[in-house]
Amino acid sequence: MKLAALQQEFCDLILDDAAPDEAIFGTDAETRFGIYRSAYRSRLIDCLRNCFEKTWSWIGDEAFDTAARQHAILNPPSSWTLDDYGMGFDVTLATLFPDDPEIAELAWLEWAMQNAFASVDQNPVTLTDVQAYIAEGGDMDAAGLTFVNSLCTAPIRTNCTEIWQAIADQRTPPPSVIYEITQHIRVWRKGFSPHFRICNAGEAEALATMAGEATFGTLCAALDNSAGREAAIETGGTLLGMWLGDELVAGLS
Amino acid sequence: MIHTIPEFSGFGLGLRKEHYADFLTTDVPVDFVEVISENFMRAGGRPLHTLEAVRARYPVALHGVSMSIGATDGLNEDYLSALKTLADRIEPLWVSDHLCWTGTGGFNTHDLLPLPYTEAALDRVCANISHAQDVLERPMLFENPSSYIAFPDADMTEWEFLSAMCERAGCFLLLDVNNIYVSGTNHGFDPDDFLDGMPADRVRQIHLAGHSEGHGMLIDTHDAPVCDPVWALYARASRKFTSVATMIERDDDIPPLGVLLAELDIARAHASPELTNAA
Repeated sequence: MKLAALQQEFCDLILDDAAPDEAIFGTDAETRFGIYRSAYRSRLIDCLRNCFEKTWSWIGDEAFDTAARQHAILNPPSSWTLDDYGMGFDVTLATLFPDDPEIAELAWLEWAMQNAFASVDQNPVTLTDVQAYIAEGGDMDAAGLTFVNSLCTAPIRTNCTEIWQAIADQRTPPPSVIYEITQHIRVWRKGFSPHFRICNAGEAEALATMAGEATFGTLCAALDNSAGREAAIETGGTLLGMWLGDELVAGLS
Repeated sequence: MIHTIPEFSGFGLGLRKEHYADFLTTDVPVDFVEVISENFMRAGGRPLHTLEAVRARYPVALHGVSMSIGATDGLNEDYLSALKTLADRIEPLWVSDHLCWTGTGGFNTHDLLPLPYTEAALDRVCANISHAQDVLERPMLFENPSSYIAFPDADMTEWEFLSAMCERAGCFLLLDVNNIYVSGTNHGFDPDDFLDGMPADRVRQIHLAGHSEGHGMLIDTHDAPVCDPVWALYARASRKFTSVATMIERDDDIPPLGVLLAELDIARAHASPELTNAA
């Protein structure tokens, strides 16, 4: 058997429970193959448990492992790194637990925090940088703002952040709550630590406006539509101050 | 392209996150540490900064698990590029991986799967090693994995394969003495035949680890102390390979650092006088 065909056969046998051919894989191949099959499945479940410790804690061993096995069947790993394997687990959970949306949202939050943790190192723009920019004659209206690569946002409709925090603090988590109004969350890295924050409606709209590259003037113009020019500039300034303090701005140009 | 790896004798440990603080704040009595490359092949963040701080205090060897050097569909260029970036940043003693493959056709088992020791596999492995070494601009070390399946169509023994691989590809060897013992037990070969078949001038590092017992086979779990037969095998290996770095490799059930340092002292006691004097 050619090497490529043998490797394909080996992989197929790991993914299903067919009996291996002893002419190819040697004596006692069924028992010996079982070691590789068992290791493969255990590795994926362990990986998801490590990535989603709080989700695991929230739903318990049995439900988590069932979900992990389902995810492994539907999503065999393809990346060279197991660090990527948790991608999409929140989608699997959303499918398996449609009546408990906090489960998928909790998993999304954990995954976003992990990605932020290992995101590209960037030097955040500080308030001093902005003051220097203005002092040098920079036009804030035309100033382009870019956010750090670690920033990601999502709408949430449950108290997943409260559950996350309670588990992190080793407190009894609160019962799940489904909000009547969708909220927005942002996750990013500050220093070496990932953070999350529930955004108010104004900040969520501002972040959506600023997605990609936009100027501070663009932001104020968007806010102006609802609040008037003077209030918009004040709100824009407040948001910018908060973003700078959170180390959320990576570029000012 | 550098074509050789300077000789380095010493005694070290695999660096695990449970012990980061010890290595960063105290003078741990080791000559080097080894890290899992993939744990630091991320875009940024605290792990890389921790590794750089450790590197400022100790020589570091990079040990990978994902190169898949026996893969018939070639090496992953993104992986090689990330490993090159890490190696250039850390300036390690050397870069190692395993003689194995991890998947095919876009599927990755993330396991160290066994190769048939055939001429075709040797051709594929040597071609992949040449490419990896060209990209990394340095020769590599490859480790003998533990295995549970032996292919009846093999043309040669594992040690004959490793020896031919070094000669053809210009690479070096990381001998895992525990893996020799595990595979020898599982496949019925004499570990001393394995040691006798090694090209002594190509062995640069030795791993020592523990294993567990499965149903009629030994399982390479790296989660237990080194057992007596492996110590005895290491004692013989250390007299054959006189310029190697020795390391305790614990991957699971990580004990306090003092336990591993005590185990490293046992390694020093079993090693040849030449090795302990050179360290």
